[in-house]
Amino acid sequence: MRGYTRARILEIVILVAPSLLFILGTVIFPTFYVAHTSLFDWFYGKRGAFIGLTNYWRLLNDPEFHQVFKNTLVYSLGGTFLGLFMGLLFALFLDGVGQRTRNLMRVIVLVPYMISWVAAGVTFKWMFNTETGVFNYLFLKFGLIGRPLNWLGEPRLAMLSCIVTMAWATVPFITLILLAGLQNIPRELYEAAAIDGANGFKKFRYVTMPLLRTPIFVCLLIRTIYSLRDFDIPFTITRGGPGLSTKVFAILLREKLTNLDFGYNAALSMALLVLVLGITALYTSLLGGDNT
Amino acid sequence: MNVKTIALRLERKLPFKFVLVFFAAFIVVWSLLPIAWMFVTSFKTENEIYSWPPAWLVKDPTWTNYKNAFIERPFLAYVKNSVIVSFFSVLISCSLAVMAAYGFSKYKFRSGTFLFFLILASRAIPPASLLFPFYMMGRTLHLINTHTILILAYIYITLPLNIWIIKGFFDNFPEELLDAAEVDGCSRLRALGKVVLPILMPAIVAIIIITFITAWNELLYAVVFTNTPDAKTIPTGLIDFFGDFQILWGPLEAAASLSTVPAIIFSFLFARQIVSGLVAGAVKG
Repeated sequence: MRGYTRARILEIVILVAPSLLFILGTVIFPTFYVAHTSLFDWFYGKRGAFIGLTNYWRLLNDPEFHQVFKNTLVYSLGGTFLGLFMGLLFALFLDGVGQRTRNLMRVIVLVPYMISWVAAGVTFKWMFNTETGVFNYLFLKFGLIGRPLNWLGEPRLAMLSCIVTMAWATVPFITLILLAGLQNIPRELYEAAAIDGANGFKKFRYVTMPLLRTPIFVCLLIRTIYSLRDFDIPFTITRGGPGLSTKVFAILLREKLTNLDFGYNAALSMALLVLVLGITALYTSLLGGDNT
Repeated sequence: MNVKTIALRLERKLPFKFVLVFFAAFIVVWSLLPIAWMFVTSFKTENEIYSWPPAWLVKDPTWTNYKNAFIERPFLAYVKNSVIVSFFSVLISCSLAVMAAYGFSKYKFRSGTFLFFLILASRAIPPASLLFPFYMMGRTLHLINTHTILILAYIYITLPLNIWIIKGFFDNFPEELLDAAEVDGCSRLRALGKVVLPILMPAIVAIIIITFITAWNELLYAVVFTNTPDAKTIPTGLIDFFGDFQILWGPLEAAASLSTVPAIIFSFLFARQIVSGLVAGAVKG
């Protein structure tokens, strides 16, 4: 650390203060504001008395919240792990092919990452269509199903459809991050393992997997956090229906806000926040514990 | 089974080559089929759209669906709003990010680590949890249904990640070059524009594109805070189709196809920069 002149301190302030103030104003302060809001009684947009944890109590006793909580976890974990499985497969493949193929395929894999989840939702909703959808057509043709399925009209299938769409949207990110991880593994390690008599599977198990551990955890962490807060895909494909079957946190949050039920919204916001931070802590401790 | 071994054997054994090509084709179909299907549908006539079995190729391509999206719905206004909102989000978020990241990376100060952590931690807070404060702010400052409220939201959503990505690139920037610039009488701040930025252009391109795409694609804040063509963006325009008595798939797929054009162009032109930005953003932090 050097002793800084006044001019240099001024430079630091000019550089850092705008971002810092912006984040303080739009994220840090609002987070405390939500926590504060959640402790009051709100009646159609007007703040009433301090009621402590009553809003949270309402949440815990609301069957809709139970359902939404379950949906969010199923959707988030389902989408993330299906995405991880496909992404790992793709990354291993792309790591094995030649440089030119890899560069081309990287572009192709990137495209689904860049398009909006709304556009992805729109086209999947169209493909899941009961009467004219290509999924029903292909599955019927290959004899996987006996009759056209009502993908978006039946609770379990609707959730599955959302999960598949989320996984599709998640695969590019996971593929690209894991591919970068695989490319960082020194080739000599594989050669050394081969000299020690390791076959293909053993190389994967004892060379690739340990070195890919951190990238995999990073992918899991980031994709879980982002899918827990997701609004776009379920809202586009099913609007949370049929019934409550695909309603997730973000959809309920929006509904409570537009219904001016601010107390409920704030308590729910805090619940989502705690869930996300909890999962972050869980992953980080799992990674930190084994990372030696 | 390790793919590398397969790749090595492939030169000798033809069946492996077949498996390889098959798998490559699978990745292409998986990634592009849904998008291709969107474009194919958008050029079909109504009869073809609802035909069974589905028509894989378009027999007589038509622009009708595109015309309908623009004539019967205010999509031109939505595109304009999306462009304005994305442009200002990029301009402000990326400028702030470059400045802050430079400050955190090239000036060592006591509270630096803590403040940097504070900004990073804000990335973990779900935007869906902050709808209410944004609503209150919008109501107080009369920002509901304006471009401004969306721009503010997209700046805060993208800023922490941008700072994180760019700081990584700054950290790797050789300190000697800055010292040399200082000897030549160029202050550290001036060196940012004259020495550092020109060299780190690829990284800047990466955050510009990632920010643009985030703002261009965002739905939740757009749906909650805008409700007329004065401020509504493309994703909200797409969602509106589902409010109709009957979903008009042709015009909807046309509008959705249009919304993906920037993403497709950027992917093909700047794949390398985007991927390096993504990887930099995901490295453990």
